[in-house]
Order: sequence, then C-alpha cells, then structure tokens
Amino acid sequence: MIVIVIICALFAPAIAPNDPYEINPAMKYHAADSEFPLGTDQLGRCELSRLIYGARYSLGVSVPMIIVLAVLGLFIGTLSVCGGEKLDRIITFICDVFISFPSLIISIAVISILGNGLQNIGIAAVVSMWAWFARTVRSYAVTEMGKEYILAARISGCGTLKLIFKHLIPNILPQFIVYFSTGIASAILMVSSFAFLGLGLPSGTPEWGAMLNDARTCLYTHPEMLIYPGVCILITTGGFNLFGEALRDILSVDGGI
Amino acid sequence: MLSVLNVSKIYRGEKKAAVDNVNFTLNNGEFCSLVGESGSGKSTLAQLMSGLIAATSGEIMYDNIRVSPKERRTSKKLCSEIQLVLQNSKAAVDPRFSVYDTIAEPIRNLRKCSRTEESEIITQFIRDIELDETILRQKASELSGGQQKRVCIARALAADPKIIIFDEAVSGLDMAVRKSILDLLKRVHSKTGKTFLLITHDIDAAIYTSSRIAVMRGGKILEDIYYSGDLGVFKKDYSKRLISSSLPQSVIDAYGVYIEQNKRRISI
Repeated sequence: MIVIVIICALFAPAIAPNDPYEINPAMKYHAADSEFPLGTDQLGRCELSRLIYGARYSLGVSVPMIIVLAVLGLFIGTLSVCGGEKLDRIITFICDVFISFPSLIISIAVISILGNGLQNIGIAAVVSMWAWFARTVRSYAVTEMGKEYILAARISGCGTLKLIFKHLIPNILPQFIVYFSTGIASAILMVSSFAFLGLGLPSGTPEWGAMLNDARTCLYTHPEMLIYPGVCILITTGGFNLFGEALRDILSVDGGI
Repeated sequence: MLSVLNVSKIYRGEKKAAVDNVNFTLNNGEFCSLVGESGSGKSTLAQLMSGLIAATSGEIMYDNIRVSPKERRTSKKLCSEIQLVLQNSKAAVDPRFSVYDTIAEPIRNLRKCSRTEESEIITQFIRDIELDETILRQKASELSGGQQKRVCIARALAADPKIIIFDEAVSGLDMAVRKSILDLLKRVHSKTGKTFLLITHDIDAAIYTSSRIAVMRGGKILEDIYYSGDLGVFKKDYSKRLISSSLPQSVIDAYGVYIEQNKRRISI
C-alpha cells in the first residue's frame, strides 16, 4: 500500500490524468468517466489527480519532518542517558514541559507566529513533537544501558561515543523504527489536521486534509468527496503502521521485541 | 600487584556496607579465588577491583594507579590490564555481534593491531578456548551457555590483560561444562601466567583451581589461605561449613575437618 502511495508522490505529474489545479465550473461535480476517473469536485477539478498530488503533499511534508524528529530524538535521547545525571534531569524536565501541552496547540501557536507555508508546518510539527521522540528514545536507552553487554563493552574499552554508535543505537533501532513508522502516520494525520483547519497550506492545495475540509459543504449531496481523501489517509497511515510492525519483526534479534 | 586497602562500599540508600573495610592483595601470576555465599560482597569487590564502581572509602592501587571509574575512563592501561568476565554470559554479549566481533572488540579498542594480526589472534584464541572456527561468524547470543562463557573468556584474554577477574565463571552451568570451563581456566593460567581471580560461591571450584583462597562473609574477608591440597588449612567454622556443603563427607573425613563447639570437636 505504501509503495503505491510513494510511487504516486514521486511520479504524480506523470500519473495524474489531469491538472489538479485547473478549475472548470462547468464540470462541477461531474460524474466519473474516462476523462475524470473519480469525477470532479465543487470547482470542477479532477478528483483523482488531486488525490495523487495529495500523496506528494502528505509525504513531502511528513517524511522530512519525521526524519528531522528521529535524528533530533536519537541525539537528545541518548545525550540525556549518556551525558550524566544533571543533564538527564534538565532534558527530562524540558520534555515534560513540552509534553504537558497538546501537540496541536503548540503547532497552532508556532504557525501563528511563523505564518502559513509548508516549511512552517514542518517546523511547527518538529517543535511540538520532538519531546515525544526524545523521551521515547531515552526510555529505550535507559533499558539498554542497564544491560550487561553495555558493561561488557565498557570493560572492553569502549568510550561513550563508540558505546552509543556501536551498541546502544543499533540495539534500540528495531523498537525505534516501529515508533518512527507510527510517527510517519501521526505526522500525516497532523499535516492533514492542519490543512483541515485551514492552517499552513494555501487555499486550493490538493492535500487530503484540505480536500476533506473543502468537501464538508457537500457531505450529504456528494459524500464520495469526503470518502476519497479519508480512505487515502486511512490507507497511508495504516500502511505505515503495518510497515513498522513488519520491520520490527525483521530487525529484532529474536523475531520480536 | 593489585592492592585493596581498607576499602568499603555502601550502596546509595543502603545502611549496611556491601564491602566492609577489606584489605586484600592480589599477587602477580597467582590463581586466587574469592569464595562466599550470595550477598557476601564478592561481586561488589570484583567490580571495585576492576574500577567499574567507586569505593565509599579506602583505595585500590594497581602499579601506582588508583583504580576507580574516573581513572578507568582516562587510563587505557587500567582498561587493558584489568579485565572482568561478567557472571551472566548470555547477557554480556551484544545480541547483534558475531563471535568474531565480540572477541575483536577489546583488540580494536585497546591494542594496536592490523586486521590480519587481529584475525590471527582471534583464530588462536578460538583454538585456545576449544571452540570450532566455524562459530566465528555466528551471533554470540545464539551459542550455548558454555560456549558463550568461553567466548567471554576469550574476549577478556583478547585485551591481553595482566589480571582477569572471573565473576561466577561457572554458575548456572551443568557439571560437565562446569568442569571443562574450570579446566580451561587452569590451562590458560598455566600457559599465560596471568593473574586470575575467580569469584565463586562454590568452594569446590576454588579448591579445584586455586593456590590461594579467600573466604568472604558479610562484606569482610574471614580468612585468606594458601591451599596446596590440605583442607585442614581452613580454620574458620564458616569456611568449613562451605566445604561440608559442597564436598563429599568421605573427603571431609579423610582430611579430619571439624568445627569446635563448647571445646568439643564436632565432625562436619
């Protein structure tokens, strides 16, 4: 499923049958036919083309955002565990402060300050979610650091950096990848939520959340306009969650964590 | 020579000392055993002597270097010359590492060797610990308990240390594997001449391998004797009880080991 979504995102201009931005009031709510395989929306734009381009927006924002979050989480989480007790307390306290506010509230506040734009959505999501990633990595790292193979590595002359890169991170990676994959799903939902609320993306952007928002007005007359982007979000987030589970089974040493 | 001078260790939140004012010297080239029941402070003393934990009071000296976690972080000499083989071998090997990488780790960290030399050293160690070379590419976590113990011993030897401390080297192993590990330790000791300290709760393992046996109880060293085959050298009742709990009665009787109670000799 996610392969299809990724292909759609990468080759949207080649795959999309029509221009997703082309407004044609005469073709408003046109039924599905060979020219418009899923019909048209309230402005006569090709629904299928907009869904295909939507994958580009959802993944284009979510994946880089989640990669930044993962790197930041791994860095802060391991630094917290390996940097001494004082630093651990400070980082844990800051994480607790960020976690105590709902992510969406922090994101809305950041977007209000920075203004609309894809880049700002990414920054807002990183600011609101970094603490969750850092704390999750920290909890994995604390568990691993208590294991005897870490002590054995120290006895074998491993310094802190070697310990982190050769033992700690490879051993927390299977669990972290699962969290990372579900994080992509959360990020896609977050971007869609912003678009649904009219935050971050310019009007008329073919993004699934924005399409849901646009389709609210025709809930009873053309429910398929809501169903199509909804199904896309469901398939993509579900696909990434399943992908994470499968990766965990493959990567974990004993076939399960 | 590793000297433990008036060392005490009280863990945070504890009132009782795990190690209580211990004085102990590990001489070069000897095979010494530290025997005692669970909770007697043996493993704590082993970790103190390895510099993995800091003493609450007193000091541990090795070649004019103060043995401590701080010193261990900065002194490569301390890291490479004092090695500790941990009790739980299964947990002490990185689940992602192959046997080769497990043994190679101290070589890469503590010795200056080319890859070819490293490979030769590891192959030699694998032969020394009586394992087949084919297991080198296997994951260390997938081996049997006895094989993992051997790999951990090889890893300690790979650092080319002067002192190796074996924390409960044979606990949790079946009798045949246990004997083969003890035989391996004896053989490696006589071949390399390194200083060995065996931490064990089985006094029979100490008697089988060591020329010197120190008995610990309640964080203190009760007695420290040189053993050359005569069980009569053990003077403390606690040591005699340890012997009676692990050796056959016929052996104990043959050596005339007894305890004194109300000025009467009672056979144990």
